[in-house]
Amino acid sequence: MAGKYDRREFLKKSALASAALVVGGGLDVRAAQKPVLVKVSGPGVPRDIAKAVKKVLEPLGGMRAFVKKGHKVLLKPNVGFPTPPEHHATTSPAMLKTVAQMALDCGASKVLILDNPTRRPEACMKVVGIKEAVAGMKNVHFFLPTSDKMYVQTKVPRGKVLKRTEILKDALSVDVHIAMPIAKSHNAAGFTGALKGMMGLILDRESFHSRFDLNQAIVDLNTVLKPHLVIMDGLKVMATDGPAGPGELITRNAILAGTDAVAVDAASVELAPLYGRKIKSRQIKHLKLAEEMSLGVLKPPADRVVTLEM
Amino acid sequence: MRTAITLVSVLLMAPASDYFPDESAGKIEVFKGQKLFDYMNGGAELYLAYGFVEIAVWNYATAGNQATVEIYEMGGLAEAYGIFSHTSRGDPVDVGVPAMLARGMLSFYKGKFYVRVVAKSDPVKARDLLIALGKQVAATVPGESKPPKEVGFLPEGSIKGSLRYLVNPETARTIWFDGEGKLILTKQAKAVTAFYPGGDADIQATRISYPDKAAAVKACRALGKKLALKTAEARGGCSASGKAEDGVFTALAAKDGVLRWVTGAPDQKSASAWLAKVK
Repeated sequence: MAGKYDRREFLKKSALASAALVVGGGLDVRAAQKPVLVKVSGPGVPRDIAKAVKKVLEPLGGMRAFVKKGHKVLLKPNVGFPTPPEHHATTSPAMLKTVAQMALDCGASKVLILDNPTRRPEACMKVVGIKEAVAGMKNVHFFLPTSDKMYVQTKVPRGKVLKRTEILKDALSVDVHIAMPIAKSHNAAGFTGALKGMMGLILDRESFHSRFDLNQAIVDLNTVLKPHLVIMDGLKVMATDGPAGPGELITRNAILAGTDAVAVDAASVELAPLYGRKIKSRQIKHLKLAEEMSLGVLKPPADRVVTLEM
Repeated sequence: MRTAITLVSVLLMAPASDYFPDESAGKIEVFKGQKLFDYMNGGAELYLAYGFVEIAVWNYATAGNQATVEIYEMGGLAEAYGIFSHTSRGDPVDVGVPAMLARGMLSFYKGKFYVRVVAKSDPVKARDLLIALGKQVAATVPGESKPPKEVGFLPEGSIKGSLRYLVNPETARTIWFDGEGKLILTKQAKAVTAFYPGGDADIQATRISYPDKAAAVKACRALGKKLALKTAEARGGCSASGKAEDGVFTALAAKDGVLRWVTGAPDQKSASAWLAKVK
């Protein structure tokens, strides 16, 4: 539902392509499968964000594995709060700029940077630093929805509690959906990353908190909004007082990427102690439920995980 | 009866000062009850769990610095302290009442009000502004700044910023992640929990008081079962101990309507010794 080809189809094609390449060479097919989770970290990451993003995507086939000529691409950051980038409540503008440029370099016809913020869109637009970061980039559009007309009623066939919801039309019509959350603590959900961040593409978030079991509703939503790629901002983790902050910031100088949103979120949970102690990814209820509903895995096999330093 | 919005109005009507000149007033925003979601989305649940009534928000801008003053009216003094306990980071400062100053945020509680002053510009440069605004607001907010008596029942020496005052399961979402909160906290229970420096793991001590003895015993049994501990029934009470799944030692005991619980200890003897320190 997320794009013109869905994530499952994409993964299948990627795996088959990888297998075809290595069978001819007489190698083990499994060993040649692309990773589903890549992490790059180290002091070099914040010094050269563009290089770090390219590095983290390389094992996944680079941006070219996802974006083709003429594609309309959605970048879904966290722009939920009108706080400056130094608070790390919102996704790094430098990361967004890099990914937008990479998509254009692959021939993307349009790059949309979209999020439905918690607070007044104009207030968020003013301080999060993204507008300035992508200023002058042709065919890159950063906007925070202001009208209900931009959403379309959408069924959630696999939803256990969420049966339908209004989703941003643009999020449903793009060819490639790239989630770009920032790793943070969250008072209600424990952690917010890619899965929780999908709530930024819908109109009625309040019912998630007041009518439904929040964790189940998040997972239900992720049965219809499935990013093809997740690129997680783990430069500094807001370890307390999320999602709005300001909270305690723990420097990790990390960027994670992957095709399994559950795996990327799970690894991000364990990037830094949250609320002053080590939290296991299985303790974050919506991630556990997501795995139970086969949306991804908390711990991918070791041979599908790549760790890089910079 | 003072409300958050009347407090802001009083502040703005007061004679102009360095930080509250008439022309800086800007627009006051007010969010009541469930409308808090419109202001802070998911962060709202914790506030609502502490009996949130309304918030008045006011943005302040001066040359080079910006800050937001948030005055939250909570369910009462204990609830105001409760939400403060979740955000109490940084270093103590005196703004007329004890406050905490972290990078980019000053917070305190007074009466039924919880106050945050958040920097919207460079948090380091805004430090003096946060303190000055905090002093102005604290002088206007009525009531005292005194923690609930339950706080004094835990041993001293907890890890800075780790103490939490809990009043229902929803307030414990970021304390216990495996459903323990729902087992041991009821709407009438009052709990305090904190972490202490240990060996490989930090030691967590918790004390919960219930309105009746049976509720404490019920919670003790349920928690003992969940943690697969060896439970012993005492006359009118309950106790349990053992090694938890994650390899640390735990001890709990219910008596006279109070459940005491220690976990994270390196051995059983240590767990029992810590339990004895919880009043």
